[in-house]
Amino acid sequence: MKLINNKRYTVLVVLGLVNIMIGLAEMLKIIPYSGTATPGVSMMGAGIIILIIGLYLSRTPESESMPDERTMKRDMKVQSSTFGIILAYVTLLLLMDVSWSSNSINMGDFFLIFSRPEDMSVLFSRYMSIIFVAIISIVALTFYYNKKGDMK
Amino acid sequence: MKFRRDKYILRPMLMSIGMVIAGILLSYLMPSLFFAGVGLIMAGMILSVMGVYAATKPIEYFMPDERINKNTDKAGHHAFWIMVNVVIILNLIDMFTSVSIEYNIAGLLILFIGIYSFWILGWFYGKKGDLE
Repeated sequence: MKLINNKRYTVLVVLGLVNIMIGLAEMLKIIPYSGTATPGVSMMGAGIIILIIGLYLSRTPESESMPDERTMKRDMKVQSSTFGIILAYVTLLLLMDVSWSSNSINMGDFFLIFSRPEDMSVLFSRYMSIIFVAIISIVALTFYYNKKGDMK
Repeated sequence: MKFRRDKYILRPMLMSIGMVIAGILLSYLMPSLFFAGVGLIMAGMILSVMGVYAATKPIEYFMPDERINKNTDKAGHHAFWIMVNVVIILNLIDMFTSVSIEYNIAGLLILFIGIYSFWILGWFYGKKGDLE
């Protein structure tokens, strides 16, 4: 069996390997960092995931891995809608931030992860919440538009 | 000059009147939210001006055709990825460096980059003509 059938995706394999190498270099303190968290572990994790995706895609034939017209249209529509959702979410977070910093609205501990940044874990920072919202909306909207069928 | 009086005009006009009233009430009753009230009043007035402008045009004037829909989707798709990349870069800076960026500034940056890239890409694809 050929290892690489599709050269388009070998870039993902290379990217995964580079990520793993940078992560290793950072863990061994060859590359210094100044933050509180260690980026090496997450870079290695991301590298392994990219490497697996790249190996899988590069082994599939080119005719199977190319998205068809309908998939491309659907993805564009989904991402365009997600763009609007993220704009609304970022605006909402900004408004919440301004309201809390001026102490005009107190919603108790309900939105604790947004109102007290010092208590937040790394996973629940505002930026990560934006990315979570984007991922969830992409999955939900893809399911919806797939089911809906008509791509106008 | 003829004015349309269908639901596409009446709804935004009612919304704009509601926004102006809510803004006046908010700025009077809650002085700490004075600027939010003023913002609501201004948004309501802008919406009413847009409604009056839209009422003077026939409804076919605002119906997007296939090409404009495709253009908007393509611009939104690329603007989405630009914005996600900005958020990821800000997240990496926040997590792995000693630089701390206030969300007030970062959020505005994300909004500006998102909106302007959408406009610029929409203009670019509208001008370019060929949408694959």
